[in-house]
Amino acid sequence: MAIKGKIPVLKVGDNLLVSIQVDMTDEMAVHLQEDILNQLIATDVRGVLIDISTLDMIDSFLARSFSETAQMAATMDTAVVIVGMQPAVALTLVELGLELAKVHTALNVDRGMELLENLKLGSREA
Amino acid sequence: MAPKKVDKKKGQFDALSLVGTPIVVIDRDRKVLFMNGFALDLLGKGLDEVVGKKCYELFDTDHCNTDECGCMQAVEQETSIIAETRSRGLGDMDIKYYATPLKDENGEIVGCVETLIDVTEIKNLQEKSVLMAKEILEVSTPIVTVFDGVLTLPIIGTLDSQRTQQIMEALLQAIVETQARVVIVDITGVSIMETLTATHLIKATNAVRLLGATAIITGMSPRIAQTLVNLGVDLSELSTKSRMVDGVMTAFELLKKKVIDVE
Repeated sequence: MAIKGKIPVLKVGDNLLVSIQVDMTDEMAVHLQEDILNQLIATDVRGVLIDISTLDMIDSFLARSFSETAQMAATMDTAVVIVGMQPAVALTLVELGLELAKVHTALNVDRGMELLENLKLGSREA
Repeated sequence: MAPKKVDKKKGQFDALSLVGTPIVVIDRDRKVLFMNGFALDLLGKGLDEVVGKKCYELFDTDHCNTDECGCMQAVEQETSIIAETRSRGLGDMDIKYYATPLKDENGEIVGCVETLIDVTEIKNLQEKSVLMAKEILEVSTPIVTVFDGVLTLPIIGTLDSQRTQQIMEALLQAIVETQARVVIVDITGVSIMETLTATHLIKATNAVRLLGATAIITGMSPRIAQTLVNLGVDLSELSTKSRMVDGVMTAFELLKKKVIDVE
């Protein structure tokens, strides 16, 4: 039975693509984190792109969830890029002092993909 | 206007007619005992038309007939009250009024004396100056595109929380609109940089980074550098250059662009 409000995680090449189109509840955030990690283990993807351009609010729970996902992905030599953060959301995050540790950011999906490729190249050279 | 009968109470208030602003005297039931000439002129009524009527039937302000009525509070708390309200009945007027308890020979509170002052013009001037201050703020932080994808923001003057908020909103919006990759924040013109200002600056650069752009701070002075270090700010992520031109060169590098001589 499909979980209500499950956010699809799509594999595109050697990246995972996540586009958040609805307001995220804490439960959804937990499921998303699990889904991403399961896919990372099951496949050989090296990058995760999360599009949050429709989110007009990110609370501390979600911010921490993203950070945790990125940190866990980093242990698997995988980069996480968040794209499309709205200005108001960015302002709130810095006001609250919420750090998105290990999370890379880009303005949009194109830039995000570019960044992912650069990051992968970089880690290969390391 | 001559009183119809000799009333001891009316004689008591005659001196109020000499005061150059509307004054209303009411009893504890809020019935009008007296109004001076200025108050009567305001209503366009004669004294015998208003005596005995409830004050809120004659005036219509935001405080009338509510718990906020200054006169009721003055009587209850046995002290003078100063309040501000808007009048709806007599054309839009901003009013400041003083409500003082009225006592009889035995010291018992029998009513309230209300002095009205028209502050409409003062309020207008206040609103105008707030608007002007806002305009100055907007004008003094222009966001300039020096190159495709490179924004510069020269900050002049002091940086308080309100201004930083304004600057950050405008800057982030500009980043989205111009798809900028680099933002050069020049602080040469920042005169006063206290700890709080430095914190705001760091917040601004963090916000820029969340949008996927790189922030470079130029024009850093030794004093500000000291403040930042003392704050224990993580300067590893912060890119700084002493001159704006160095910032622009760094931006070119980040965009993988080069400046060459044309033969």
